[in-house]
Amino acid sequence: MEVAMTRSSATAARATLGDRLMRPLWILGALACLFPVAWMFLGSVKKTNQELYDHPFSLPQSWAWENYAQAVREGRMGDYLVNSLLVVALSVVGTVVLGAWSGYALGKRDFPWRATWLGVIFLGSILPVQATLFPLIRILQTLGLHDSLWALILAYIAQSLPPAIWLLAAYFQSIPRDLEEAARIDGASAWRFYTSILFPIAKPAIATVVVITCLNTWNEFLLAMLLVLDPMKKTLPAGMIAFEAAHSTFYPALLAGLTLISVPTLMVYALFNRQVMRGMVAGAVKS
Amino acid sequence: MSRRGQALFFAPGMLVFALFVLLPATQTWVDSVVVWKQGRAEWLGLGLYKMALADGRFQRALGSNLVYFLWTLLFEVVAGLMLALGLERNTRWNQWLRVIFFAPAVLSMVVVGLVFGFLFKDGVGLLPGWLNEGNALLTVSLISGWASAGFFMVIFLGGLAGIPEDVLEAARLDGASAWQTFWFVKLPLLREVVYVALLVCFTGAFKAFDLFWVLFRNQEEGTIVGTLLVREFFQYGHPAYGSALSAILAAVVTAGTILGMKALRWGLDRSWRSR
Repeated sequence: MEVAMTRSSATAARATLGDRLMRPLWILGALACLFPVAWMFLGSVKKTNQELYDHPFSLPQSWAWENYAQAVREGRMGDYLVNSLLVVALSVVGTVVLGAWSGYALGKRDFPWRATWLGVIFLGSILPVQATLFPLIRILQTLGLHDSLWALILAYIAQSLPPAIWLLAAYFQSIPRDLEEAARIDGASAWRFYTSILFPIAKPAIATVVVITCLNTWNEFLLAMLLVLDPMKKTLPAGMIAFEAAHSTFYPALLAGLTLISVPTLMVYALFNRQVMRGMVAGAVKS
Repeated sequence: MSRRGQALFFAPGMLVFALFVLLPATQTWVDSVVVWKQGRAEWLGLGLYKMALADGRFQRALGSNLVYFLWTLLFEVVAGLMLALGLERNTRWNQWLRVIFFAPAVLSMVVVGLVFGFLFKDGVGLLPGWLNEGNALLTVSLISGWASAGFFMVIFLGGLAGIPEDVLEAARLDGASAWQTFWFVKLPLLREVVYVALLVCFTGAFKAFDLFWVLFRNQEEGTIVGTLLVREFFQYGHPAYGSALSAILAAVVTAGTILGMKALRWGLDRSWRSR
């Protein structure tokens, strides 16, 4: 399940002559890769559209931090940020709790129709969101949740469960049965065993689930745009599109909004790049 | 654990999944063959599907999905494989370069779409006109490649790390060139990973939405099935037709994945055994 990235991650290999000769090319490629992000950051503190486009590679003449104030004031990016944090936090908690429970049950080899359930969950995970979209809106309206953050949270949990269940079921299956047997002989109930022994052991798999769910829900746009119509309740990506539609002429303020969306994920990535890389790949590749 | 205990652990998650994914997915199929008029169900049969197959806009959208898939095979999967081969050795420089090339994958596609939209904006942008008719699909595929090649790189790095050292040592002793080692040793051993990458790329290309929605708001050329059906439903006021398009898209993705899994397994096993 864990995606190994390198043969021996503890020690770095020595660079050969060939590596050194190719190095300038790789640096050029890396700079090209970083350019759009750098342009976004630098552009967000430039004074005018003209400065943004005429001097794309230069630092701003004077740092126009007021663009961020404008993005928060006129673009309501502050409200959207709070909504996003709320939605992500609750979606992650829901996905981890429900995914670990279901994963625990499905991790048992003798679970009835185990292969069928796993197949159904797999199918659910490759289905395009659009295939559920319109009836989903009706179901949420029936439950009185349409146009609220709860609509997004429930939809996100349901969308995030398949990879979570797959990863956690595989992880729990790899834990020796003797452990549960021993706990049972010592008089622990299944619930007691799960909460005080199994769940804590599963930390690495749970960390992976948290990473995938955080990034996916933070960045999600299609449901965010269509399930929440109230402008005060939008999350960052959907709110950003509304901001862009309303103020599409002053790019530095829009770039400030885009930077606000990107900084949290880039920070998390900068701190935990290994875990994020492994987690995202494991989430898509599964088992 | 007792049967009842298992069911109690299993049920809550499955209930949420069933209520917000399985039930609406099924309902989409129903909506595409039955229409409600004044509280009475009216059977449409396959009428909407026939309409879709004859609809030029849908044909072009599906074609765009296909072209986008083929381009992303190059800009995401092949580019990712090349990055992985280039950065395979575990030097400190390579570790840094991997982190950089993967970084765009953590960005929201809304951010990616808007930033590149500004860069390619007609008149003012740094590379104006790249998103106009004729170039649109190629450019959006390049943008996808920028965003996702690093992701495929990590998939392939995982596969490359799993190749036993003695196999590569044997190739070295036999005097195999770098190209021969790649073609005759590494690639056959990577087949499992290659087919996972192909499937991820395929589903990604047909599930795509954000980038196309943000970049081509009113452009026929950049319309794919995923964006067309949302417009049919919300903007053009054809909910039943939108549902039929959703059902077709779901069928394409599901059937493509399942058939692809079978065919690739069969084909890859055969071609490499006969070598």
